Amino acid sequence: MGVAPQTGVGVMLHGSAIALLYALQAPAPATHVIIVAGVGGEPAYQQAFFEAGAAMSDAATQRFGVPDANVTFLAERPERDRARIDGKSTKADVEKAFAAVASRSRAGDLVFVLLIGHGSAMNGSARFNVPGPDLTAADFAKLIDGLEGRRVAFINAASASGDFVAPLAGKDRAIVTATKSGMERNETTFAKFFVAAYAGGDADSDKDGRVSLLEAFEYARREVARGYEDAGTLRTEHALLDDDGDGKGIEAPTLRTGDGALASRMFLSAGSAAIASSDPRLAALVRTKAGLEASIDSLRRRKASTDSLTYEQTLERLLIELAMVDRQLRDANPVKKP
Amino acid sequence: MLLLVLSCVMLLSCGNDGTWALSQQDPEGAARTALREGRYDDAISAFRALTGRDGGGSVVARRGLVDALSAVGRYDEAEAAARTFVAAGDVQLQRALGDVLRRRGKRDDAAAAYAAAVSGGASDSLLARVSAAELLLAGGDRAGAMREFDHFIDVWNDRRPALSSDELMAVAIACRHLGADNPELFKDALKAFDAAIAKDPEALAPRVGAAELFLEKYNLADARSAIEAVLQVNPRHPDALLASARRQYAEGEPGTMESVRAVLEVNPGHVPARAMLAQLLLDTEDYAGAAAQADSALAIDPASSEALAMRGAVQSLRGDDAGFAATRRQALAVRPRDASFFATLGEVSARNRHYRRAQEFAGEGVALDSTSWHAWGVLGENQLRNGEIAAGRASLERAFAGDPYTVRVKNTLDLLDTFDGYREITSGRFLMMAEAKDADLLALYVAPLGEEAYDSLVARYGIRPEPPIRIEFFRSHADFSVRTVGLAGLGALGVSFGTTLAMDSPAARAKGEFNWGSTFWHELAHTFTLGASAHEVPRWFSEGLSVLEERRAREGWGANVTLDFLAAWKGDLLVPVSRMNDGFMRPAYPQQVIHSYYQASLVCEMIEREFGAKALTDMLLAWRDGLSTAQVFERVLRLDPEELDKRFATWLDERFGARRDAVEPARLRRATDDARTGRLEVPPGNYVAALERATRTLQAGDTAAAIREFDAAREIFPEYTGEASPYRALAAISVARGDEPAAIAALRTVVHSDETSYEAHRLLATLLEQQGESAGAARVLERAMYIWPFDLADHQRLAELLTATANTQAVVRERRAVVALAPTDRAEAYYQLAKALLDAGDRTQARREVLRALEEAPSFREAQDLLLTLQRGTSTPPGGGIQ
Repeated sequence: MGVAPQTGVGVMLHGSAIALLYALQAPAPATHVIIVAGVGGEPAYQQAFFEAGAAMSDAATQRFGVPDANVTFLAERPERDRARIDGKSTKADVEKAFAAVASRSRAGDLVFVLLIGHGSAMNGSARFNVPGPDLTAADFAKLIDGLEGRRVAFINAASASGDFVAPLAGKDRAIVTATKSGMERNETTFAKFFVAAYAGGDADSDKDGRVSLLEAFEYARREVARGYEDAGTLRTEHALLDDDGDGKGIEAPTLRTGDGALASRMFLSAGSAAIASSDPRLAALVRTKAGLEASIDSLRRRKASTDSLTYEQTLERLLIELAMVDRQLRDANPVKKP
Repeated sequence: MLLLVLSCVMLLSCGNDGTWALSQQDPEGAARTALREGRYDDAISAFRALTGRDGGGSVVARRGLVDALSAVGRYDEAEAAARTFVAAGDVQLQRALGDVLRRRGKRDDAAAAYAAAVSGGASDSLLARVSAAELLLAGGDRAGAMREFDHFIDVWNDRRPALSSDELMAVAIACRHLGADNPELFKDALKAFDAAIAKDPEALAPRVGAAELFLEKYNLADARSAIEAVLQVNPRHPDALLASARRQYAEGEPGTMESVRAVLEVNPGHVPARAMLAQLLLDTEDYAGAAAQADSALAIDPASSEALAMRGAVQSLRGDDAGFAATRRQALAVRPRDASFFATLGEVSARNRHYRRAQEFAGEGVALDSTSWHAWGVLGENQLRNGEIAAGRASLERAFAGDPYTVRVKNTLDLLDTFDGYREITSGRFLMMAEAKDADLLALYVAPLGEEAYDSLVARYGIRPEPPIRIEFFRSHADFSVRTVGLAGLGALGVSFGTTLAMDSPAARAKGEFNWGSTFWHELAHTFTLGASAHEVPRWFSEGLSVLEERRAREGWGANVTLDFLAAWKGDLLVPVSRMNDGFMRPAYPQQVIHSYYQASLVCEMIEREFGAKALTDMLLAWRDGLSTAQVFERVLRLDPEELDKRFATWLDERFGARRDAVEPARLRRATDDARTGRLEVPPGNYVAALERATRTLQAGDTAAAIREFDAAREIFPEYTGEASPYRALAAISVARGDEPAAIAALRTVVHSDETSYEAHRLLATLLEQQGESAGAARVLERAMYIWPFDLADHQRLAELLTATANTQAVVRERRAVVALAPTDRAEAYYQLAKALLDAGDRTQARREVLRALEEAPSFREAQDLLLTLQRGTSTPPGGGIQ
């Protein structure tokens, strides 16, 4: 599985201008995906775990353009879909997959790890259940340590996964767990919604054409809550996200909280739909757009401390200006949406 | 000869378990055991034998005789016996004499007897002293009484180890009263009751005392334990039986009246039991019966506060102002500062739906005695019921500060503390309160439905209740229950206090468990029927009209006929119209309350059909004028109650006669397999068996035959559309066969007769949409919102369907609903709302919402385009605002 580095230099019409400027200046970082569907225990779970993993794999490759070679999908029974499944989800194969990514990736790349299945927590040891010996949080911590310099999005969507946060937390790492502790042992629904965030079209809340890890987390978190509420049952899973490295996950991260900032910049897609940047007029528009987006972002962060009328008037002016700039960019380069 | 008589008496008092020998050896002990176990006649005979005609015998035997006679209400004999003993110079009987006199309302004589017991140094002088203090309290000398009660603190502190069980009980009684000024002493009262029990584990009186204290504080679980401990020993203990009845009443358990009657069987002269019976009869609006009980009680004890309150309540509820004024004077003459008379009146008034009057009575109570925490509690509860939230909270806080151990008050204050998480939204004539997360969504439906209902009900009942009508929704049923009665466990879905309504939020129950729209309409109908009758309408009639109004509001809303209702009718279990309130207040079987709602609605329906719609409003006006129910029947319908009973029975026969056979018990039995053929035996007309056969046929794969058999079952009882009905099965079969028109026909029947069939509504909407009937699909989905309004996808779908029908205002409502449900994709939700607003011609709001969308997602292309479109077409300067 080799990596095809994205070398295009240009302007993303549907990405944020910050990412857009980055794209103008440097090769886009690559994305590497490892999906592990653990041991099911019974046919219904085997099926559900496989389906979720397959949907994630398809979303990564088909919707977000991650090269097939960069996606590794390990499952309990590889024979059920040889085209998609790259190996058995044993401890040994998982370690091999991490080693392969470590060797082919480079600094700045995103390594996206998703665990789907059952988990447990006993005697202070949090585990993810796979065929054969389980993988503990400590095992995964070692594997991630081998990815130094890469950005890591590690999502453990299994039951009793909450105790994975502290051992795995670190710089440039976003750790997501489906539960807030090892005590939440019931079957989780988080994986279903988390995958749907990437596979469906509803999680892109800022409408930039991409789904950030933060958006996917927020989507899954809300839908999990809604599911329990609709069913009239008590919620037995409370997902956490930690990306500031303090080892303390929170349930509702935003751009305004300590956690959430890194996850908001983690995308499966590095961006596409580039346009040439040699036109000075366009370059100026891009810079204007970047400035407006930065101003809007700054204003939104100061909303609580800003007089409401001032906030509204300033925001409206900025939004209108941004809309006009975006329209000029579109008019200049009528590129299809990705 | 004398010996022979004595032996016979003792023989009667002994069982077959070997106590005979014991009773011969210890006849006094045997008599005491008989008294303790409630074998009162045996005890009286034995004590009489022990005391003889000349007043001999021990003090224990003498007191035992007086106590046993009092326990069965033979007060004349008890007083005579006590006086005989006292006349013979026995100071030890003065307290017992005082108790008998007190039970008969002879308070001055009782006080003299207690004083004699105290000054004479009787062994039960502490009991006498605490009883004397209670008389002082009742007579209005609160300060003097409290000084006396306070003396018992010293008794406890100085002599506790030496105190007898009776003396410890005296301390407990004193502490219970002192608790009014220092609530911590309620705990000491319990401690003293416990100590009295520990001192004499066989003593029942302290257990009853503890139970009464628990009841007073609505600690019903502990009350139950204490009562059961007494009744296990003495199942005929009058005070324990009454305490048991009070607990049942507080918990809304059936059988309360039977329990009170059990007290009166033991002791027909039990004044508190007579007063309680009067209260129960008032609940069923049997004013004459209640008055008779109050009079009987007052004949025994003319100064009984409880009985006077009941007499006053009857007079108040009957509108007998002069009589009430006289009773009020009498009560105040006996107890010039006794707020409990007014607090009780307040409680009874509230139970009879006179919440404003209840508030006024409780107000009088606190004006009379500002330390009556009971009255403050009643005042606060009714201020809340009348929508005076701040004042109600203040009153309850005062009650709580004085007595923090009353569960109802504590519960209600706890609930009020959660109101910070609620929002109030005023729209038109309604003020809606709901938990913040639900408020915006519910308001979208509550306001228009409320306005529609208000206009409809104004037209029918001719009154305009003063806006705003306050409607509160509670996400927790327990919270709704506390809001209504101060305790958890109320079975109802909603309540109307007049212009304040409270009900379960749709989120309080599982999807498909109830229809909140019809419930809201139902409660609002009460507002009108209570208003039109000045709150004098009997409960059954008000409920009947409310159910009828539900049915008028939407096809399929309101109770519908069920198999078990018809079975109850067939089995003569339904109450006659003349006793319709019993069906609500004294249900004779578990389903009777449910059946009574439907039955009452049928009575109203019959009256409307046979006497005209005006008859219904004329009846309300007749009740308002103070007529009794029989007089109302006579004035408006020209029928006496028996004639109306017959008329309704005939009407029911005509209405449901064709279904009579379907509910033959034999036809509701499950089918049996024929032993010879192995096939299911289905007797003709057996609905249950026919359904079972059709289901088996379907399971066997013979769909065509199953359809025929489900059709046949449907013919037997076409009104039934529940989960197991043929309609649902036929719909499922038709969907599987791709016969959408047939499925639609079956589902239409279901949704138009079952107001809670959420999934059937959704499926029907889907099928209609597939058939290109967008408007029909939208109508069905709109109905589903009154069952479960929290499904985001339902609102998105409905918005799209409504867009196709060009109902722009409804589209806006649905797009607002999506926003209110806090979708993950908020930018899209705001954008769609903005588009809907623009389509509806509201550019200002559209601009506001599109800015919200862009605030979430600044580069959202479609929203940017809409903003620029709006920008071009408006003169509003940038900064028009996001709110």
